[in-house]
Amino acid sequence: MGADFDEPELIALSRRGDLAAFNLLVEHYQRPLYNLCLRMLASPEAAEDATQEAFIAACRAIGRFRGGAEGGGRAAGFRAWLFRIGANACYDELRRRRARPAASLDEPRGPSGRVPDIENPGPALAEIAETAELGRALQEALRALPSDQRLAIVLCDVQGLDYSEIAQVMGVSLGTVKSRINRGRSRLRAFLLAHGELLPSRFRQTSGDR
Amino acid sequence: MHWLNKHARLRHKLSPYIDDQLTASETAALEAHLASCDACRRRLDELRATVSALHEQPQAEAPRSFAITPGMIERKSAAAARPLPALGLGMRLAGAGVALALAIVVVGDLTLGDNGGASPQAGSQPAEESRAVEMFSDAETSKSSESGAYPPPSGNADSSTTQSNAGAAAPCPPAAAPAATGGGAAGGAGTTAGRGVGETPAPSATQQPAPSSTPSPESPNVAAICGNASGGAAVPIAPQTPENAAPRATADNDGGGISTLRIAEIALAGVLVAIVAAIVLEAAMRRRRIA
Repeated sequence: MGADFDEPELIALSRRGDLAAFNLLVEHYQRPLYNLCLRMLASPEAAEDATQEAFIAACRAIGRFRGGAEGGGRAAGFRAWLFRIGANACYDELRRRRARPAASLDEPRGPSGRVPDIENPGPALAEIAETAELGRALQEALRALPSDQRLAIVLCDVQGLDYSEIAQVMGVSLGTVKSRINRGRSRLRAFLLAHGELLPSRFRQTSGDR
Repeated sequence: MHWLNKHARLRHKLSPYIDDQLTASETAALEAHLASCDACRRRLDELRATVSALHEQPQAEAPRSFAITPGMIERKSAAAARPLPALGLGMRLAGAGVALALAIVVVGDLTLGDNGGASPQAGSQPAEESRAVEMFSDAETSKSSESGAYPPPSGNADSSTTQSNAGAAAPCPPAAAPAATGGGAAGGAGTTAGRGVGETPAPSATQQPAPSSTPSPESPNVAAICGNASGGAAVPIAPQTPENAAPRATADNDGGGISTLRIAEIALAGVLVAIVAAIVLEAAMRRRRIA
């Protein structure tokens, strides 16, 4: 963000109840957090609700936030802490969906031979999906993952967090992070291989690149 | 076989290899294998393509500002934060109340039942009844001559049922004309025990001015003990005066009081378990939600 974005200072002010300072943090993190929720929930409306819910929860709990003592520095600690709250909001929503399965977006639909259409593609999701058939397939593949693996993949491969920060977000060991990412990627790979006819050219292209 | 195992083992390392999460020796071993294995190399390429496809996904714009307004925190804390502690406190108070009631009933049960043996049949009744009477005599500090025959149970009864004794003794005057109404009015367990009251005149009388123990309608548990005591006491210790005789007579108390206590114990224990479970569950859920 801007050069005047001093995260530790904003956190310190927020802890003392400065709402304006906290809202600068919101402004800084709302896009990644919203995208995290969008990938987890595959519904723009639900992602919007979860994001707002997470920021409200974070605002109330910031007094209890202990700056990133466990490695990674204060900034990484805050992002991990915030993402953890966001992930919890997503898990709450997924749990609510399981309670009323008719409205579920979590489970994959349709025969496995075809990529089914995404129900209710809101503007944000449609924007993502329309960039390529691949994006659509990826979104579908992510939805088919168990939520723990999906969260690990989204944090690692979409948001670009490193393993130790993901471990902070998910509250698990590094080994668990490693295995969730490994299993998630294997499933995604299998899904894309089974569904995407555009993949072979992609593979050739990437393998040629590297 | 060895060949397959090696593939399976190394394939787990492809994903961390992409992220540079392997040690130097692991990396060297994997790269040596990749140099000689087309299948694993293709798999690595596929994984890389998957990862880069994820990386290339555009990030959506935030649909709006998620800035926090003071109203959001206020409204939410009024809606969500306040009722929860109230609920938690209420649950704890209810739990404590039920636990106390259960303790009172259990003590009452032991006091009434253990001296007379396990069987609540007619044969054991006199002992139970006398003890029950003693409890009440004790409360009124008018010890009878025959109370010496029994070990004083008052220590047990007094300590745990102080409230109920006080509550029961006070509104129970010796000449309790409205004993029947009292027994009938006392809700819950007490009504069962006191049902026989007033049906038949007492067949016998004793020399002792026994306190007539009218069940106090204050609480079902107090009434349960009080009702038992009054029902049981009436047989050996009948009133001297005729006006007392009518209301305090009893007909059917062979074990009815004991089973009432048992039912009360089971019911209270069930409620207690439910409340404790609810408290534990709620605490667990809250802990899970905390970031």
